Amino acid sequence: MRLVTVVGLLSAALLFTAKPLRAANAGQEQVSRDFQQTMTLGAGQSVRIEHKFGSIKLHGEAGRDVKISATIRAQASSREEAESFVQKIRIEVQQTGEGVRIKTIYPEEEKSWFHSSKHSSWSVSYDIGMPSDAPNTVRNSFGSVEVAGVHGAADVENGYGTVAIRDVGAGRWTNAFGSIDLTAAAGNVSVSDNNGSVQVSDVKGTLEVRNRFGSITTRNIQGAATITGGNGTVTLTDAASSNITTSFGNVEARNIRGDLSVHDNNGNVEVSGIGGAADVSSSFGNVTFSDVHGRVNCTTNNGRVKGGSVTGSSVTVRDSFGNIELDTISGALDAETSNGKISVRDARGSVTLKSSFGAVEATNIPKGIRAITGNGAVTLTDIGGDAFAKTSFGSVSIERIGGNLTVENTNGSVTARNVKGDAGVKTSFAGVTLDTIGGKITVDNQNGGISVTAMRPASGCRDISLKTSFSSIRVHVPEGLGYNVTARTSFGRISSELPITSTGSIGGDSLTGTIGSGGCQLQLTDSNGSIEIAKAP
Amino acid sequence: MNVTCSDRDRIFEDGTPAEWAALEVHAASCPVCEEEVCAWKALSVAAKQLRDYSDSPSFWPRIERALAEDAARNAQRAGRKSWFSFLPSLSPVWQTAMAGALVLVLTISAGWFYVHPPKNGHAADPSLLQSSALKEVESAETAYERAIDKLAAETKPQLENPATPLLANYHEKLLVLDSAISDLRAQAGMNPSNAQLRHQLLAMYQEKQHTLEEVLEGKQQ
Repeated sequence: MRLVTVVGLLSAALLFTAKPLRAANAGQEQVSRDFQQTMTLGAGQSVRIEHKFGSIKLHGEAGRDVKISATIRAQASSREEAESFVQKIRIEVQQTGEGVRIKTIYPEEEKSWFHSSKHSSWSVSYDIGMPSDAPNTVRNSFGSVEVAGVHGAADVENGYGTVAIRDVGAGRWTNAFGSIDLTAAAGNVSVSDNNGSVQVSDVKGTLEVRNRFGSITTRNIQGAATITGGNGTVTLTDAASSNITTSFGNVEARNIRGDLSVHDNNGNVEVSGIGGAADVSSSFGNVTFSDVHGRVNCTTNNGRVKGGSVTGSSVTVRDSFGNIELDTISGALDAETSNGKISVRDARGSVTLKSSFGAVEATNIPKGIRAITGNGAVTLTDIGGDAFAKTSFGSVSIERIGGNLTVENTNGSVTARNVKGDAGVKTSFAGVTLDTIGGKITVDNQNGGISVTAMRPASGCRDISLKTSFSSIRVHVPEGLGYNVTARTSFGRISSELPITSTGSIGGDSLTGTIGSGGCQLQLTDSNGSIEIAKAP
Repeated sequence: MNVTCSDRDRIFEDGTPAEWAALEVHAASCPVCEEEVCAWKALSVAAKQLRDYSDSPSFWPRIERALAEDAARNAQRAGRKSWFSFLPSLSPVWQTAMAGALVLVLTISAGWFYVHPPKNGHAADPSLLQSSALKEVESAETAYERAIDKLAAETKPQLENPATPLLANYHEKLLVLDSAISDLRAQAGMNPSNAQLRHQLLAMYQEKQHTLEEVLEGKQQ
């Protein structure tokens, strides 16, 4: 037994050191065969690889040699069968006028037998060194492809597997159902995928990416980036300029030195750090933009728009059912939505805001503003120039206007304070309150009360004309100014804190006269309410 | 009923309850079969968990772990095999002769491989699946197919007449995935243990299941 033990141990030791291939497991034997061949590539010639099952590694080397190293593997229910498999798979290497062509051949004549065994399988993996400046063409179906350090023009197509590219030149890389990961390309790059993620970074030329159902992530593109997505997210950081089109994924673009154009159908769009113009359109997604140095043109249907820090000449926003929120806009602003609220802060150009059924709010607008809505409230604060506000069924609230104010309302109240210029207000069924108005005041109301306080102007006086039908009128005028007063009402009384010198007929329902020495017009017209003239505080 | 180790794979595939019972009796006295039966039962549990078509986050790690464990188990089993258990029954002369022959063969083999050293990684190459790993993958594929069939039945009305561009897009994506699955299944049928094919096929199943779930979520919303 001692001899047996010694022999056993010795044999086991030898088995571990020398066994080339062990059985894969019970009932399955795996056999492999190495293939090695070196060819020389002429100047301007290329390398072409046609493969189907297995991985391909391609790397650039100094010199003109193409060093082909491959491992052919087969697994079958018996060692003999596996060995037979391995021998039947051939690697054909041809030197042609165009260069070196490498092809894996699975013998057609053996096909029926080849595929007859249920448990037989095979795979061929390549590791190929080639001149780093030579062009290369790779066709693979079911396996991964890796390319590194090859700067010649590349044309790579893979089917099912990952494609990894590093330190290459210009080229076209295509995959059907696997990811593509490309890092560091010295030339123009075209990447196309169907259902895998695409990642591209550090491209010195232009970039073109297409992906139907997978995500796209790109970074540091020195040339223009043209990206066509489908169903996945698109992320672009640091590019010269970009044109992005996608259907159902979110888009994020940052640090684009030139112009940016984004067209998305159903995803959210977020752009920032754009050196040129930004043209963004989306149908059902939200849009966010910030730090844009060129003009902005944004169109969306059902999403929210939020923008800020735009130093370009203009911002144009068109939305249908979403809110618009804008902040710190240097140029002219034109924003319109159908059913959303518009909110603007710090817009330094001329501003036009339109909504059909939403509220409009604006604050700190040094130049003029036109705020129009159908059924929403209008709130304007700190407007440096002229302000025009129009609504039908909402209230209007205005404060601190540097220029003239014009308000057109139908069924909502109007309140304005601290207007340096003229104030003209028209409404029908709600009250009007104007406080501290520096310029001419004109109010045309139908069924609401009017309360007006005129401010003492720097010089002279300003005309005041107030008209309503079924409510009272109260007007405060500064002492010491002269007005020609014409007050008339049918079913109310007329009273005045200020002395009025009557020059015509005096009745309970009408008054014509002067305050002070007269000068400006104070016309107060009512039908069924009282009229009160008081001193401004 | 008597069964042997050679019956094991067939019983795994389509064994009757009686054959399974016999295999378990046999496995009680056969360490190799006992290990395989345990592994198979573990797989069955995993497949059952997958059958509810909720995409478990541990699914892929479990596949990878199973592959690694399978490789480790085989290596361990190879080490444990009692290569010389039959020797005591032979006479000392035969034992000596066989041992001498074995040493000679192994010495020649060792010398040959010393001159032609094998490349690292050939034996444990991951490009071809070993049979237990293949079984696990096939089991996972079956589970996916069942889950997908169920989901496809629930989403069929929406996808046949897509009412929105998004549904039309999902429909298009599913057609693309079906085409890929069909292609991969055909290839995997001819080259069953090719790990790349199997991995891609599982990925396509997973993608299809995920897409159908998204359609269903959209319907529920």
